[in-house]
Amino acid sequence: MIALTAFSRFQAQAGDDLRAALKQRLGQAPRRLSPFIQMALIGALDALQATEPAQWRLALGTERGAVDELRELMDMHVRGEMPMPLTFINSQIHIVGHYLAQLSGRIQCVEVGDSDQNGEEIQLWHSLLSQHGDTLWGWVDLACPWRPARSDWLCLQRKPSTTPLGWLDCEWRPAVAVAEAACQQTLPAWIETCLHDSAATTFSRITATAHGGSWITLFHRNGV
Amino acid sequence: MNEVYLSGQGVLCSAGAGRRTTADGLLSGRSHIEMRSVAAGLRPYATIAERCDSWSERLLTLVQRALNEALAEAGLGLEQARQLPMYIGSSSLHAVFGENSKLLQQARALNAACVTLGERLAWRAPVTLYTTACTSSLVALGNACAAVRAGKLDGAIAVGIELDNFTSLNGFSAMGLLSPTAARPFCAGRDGLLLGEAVAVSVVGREGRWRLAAVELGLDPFSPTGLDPAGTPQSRLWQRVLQQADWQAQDIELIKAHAGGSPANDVAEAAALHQLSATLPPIVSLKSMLGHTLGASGLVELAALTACLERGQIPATQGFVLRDEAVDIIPTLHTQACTPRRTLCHWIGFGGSLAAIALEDMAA
Repeated sequence: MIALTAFSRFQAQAGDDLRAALKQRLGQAPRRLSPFIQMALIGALDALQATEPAQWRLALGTERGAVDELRELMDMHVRGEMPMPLTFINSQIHIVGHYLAQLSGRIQCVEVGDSDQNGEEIQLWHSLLSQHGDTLWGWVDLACPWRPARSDWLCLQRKPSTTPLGWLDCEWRPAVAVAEAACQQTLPAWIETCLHDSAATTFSRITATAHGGSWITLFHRNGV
Repeated sequence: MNEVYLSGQGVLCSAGAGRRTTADGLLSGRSHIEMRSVAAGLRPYATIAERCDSWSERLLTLVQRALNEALAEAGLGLEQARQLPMYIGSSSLHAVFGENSKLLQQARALNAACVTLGERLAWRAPVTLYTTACTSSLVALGNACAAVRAGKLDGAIAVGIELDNFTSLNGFSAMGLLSPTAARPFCAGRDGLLLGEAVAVSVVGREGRWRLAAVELGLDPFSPTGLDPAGTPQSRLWQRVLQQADWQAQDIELIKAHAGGSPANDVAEAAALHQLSATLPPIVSLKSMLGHTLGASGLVELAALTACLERGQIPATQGFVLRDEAVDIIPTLHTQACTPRRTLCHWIGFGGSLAAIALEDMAA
């Protein structure tokens, strides 16, 4: 199991001034960052603020990535124009790690990815397996027609020095078929529900995979 | 904790299709380089010679060929392999899908790339795509290793994919990072990178000739496009690798440097190398031959280097002709005999991502 030591969810609404939100957290906001990077930094800084100093492995998930910047690069190519360097830099999603390392001084390495399904669980599973003790787990996507924007973050520590919010575990069962998905919530939304549920301390969720297996996630809440 | 090995490898790159022909190409100085037109003019590009009628057929064909080679070497059947999680690393696979299909309009670029590839390969276990620029396939390899090392998986498949696309070429060109002629790693006359395409597959397992004694990632936050000239973050990463592998710096008998021919980053890497040891072992760079294959470069260079070492040789670092005082590194000048037991391999990524591997030849 791994300790959940901090948790943040930032959900921007259409028309929100992300730069102002970032400035509120930093005193001054870096210029010319894409909305995706701004969203990621806001959520990550909120989570880090609630934790003790540590060097984090940043594990960032995203389904859509910096799709607007990619589109812009492709449009420039079609028009025969040289891309703007900053557009290219902003299209590289992992650059979030660079900015977060500069702003916080607490990022040791970065990985960014998504899976064909159950990306959140896979990322959590690898946080449990990583030799690096502390993982800053994040999931960021801008708004799209079928879903609002999200910037969800978990601080996961192998050996926390203070009482954590709770403990998480995650297992992949490739041979176990599950008839239906028992949980449709995102992983952070489910954790938030667990944190606010005063009736129980231990929670589990099963998410089925089209591969025929399933992911079992457990959460044990502290401080009842 | 289990020991982790490269149980099987496959590669298609500018030096050859398959590890044997890739070693032939590297050791004899042959590579397939073409000129590409970008907004700034013509730039050389290291290409895979194989062509197909469509981009999607080419992608699938190349991945399947590399996969078949790796599985054959590992003694693993395709059906068995399909039960193992696949970890893909690519800096641009989602861009390739976006350039060639309507997936960007559907706004699911990253997710669609791994979903589509998983479906086309009829994969039964999870398929994950990592994109951290030039270290992408090493993130993939690192996570595959972690799962096998922890005993959670018997094996895993790591894949590196970088195919010809204008997003990467134009982006690197716009930042003035490409050489108009060739890559010259560590050379006084170096003037930029040579990009390239390649596909590589590694079967990560509990047996094999090549032990992955440590796979570590790092980050240099100096600037989005350049490294700390003092090389400090790279030095720190290598110290973690040595500690993880339980090696001393003097144990290293060969260094596979990143050395892409970048005027600034070669200096930063050299600074870190000089901090590693006063007496350095042979240093080789493969990028003047293979091109910088960005997200695929980790697995591609491992497959290519180990193919050469299995013949007891390392290739010349093509393009190096003149020592640079600011770098003060002379890489391999000729194909030469080399049978190291312990090799340090290093990669640098756009945005400051770093990766290093302690690779041990159990047959040496």
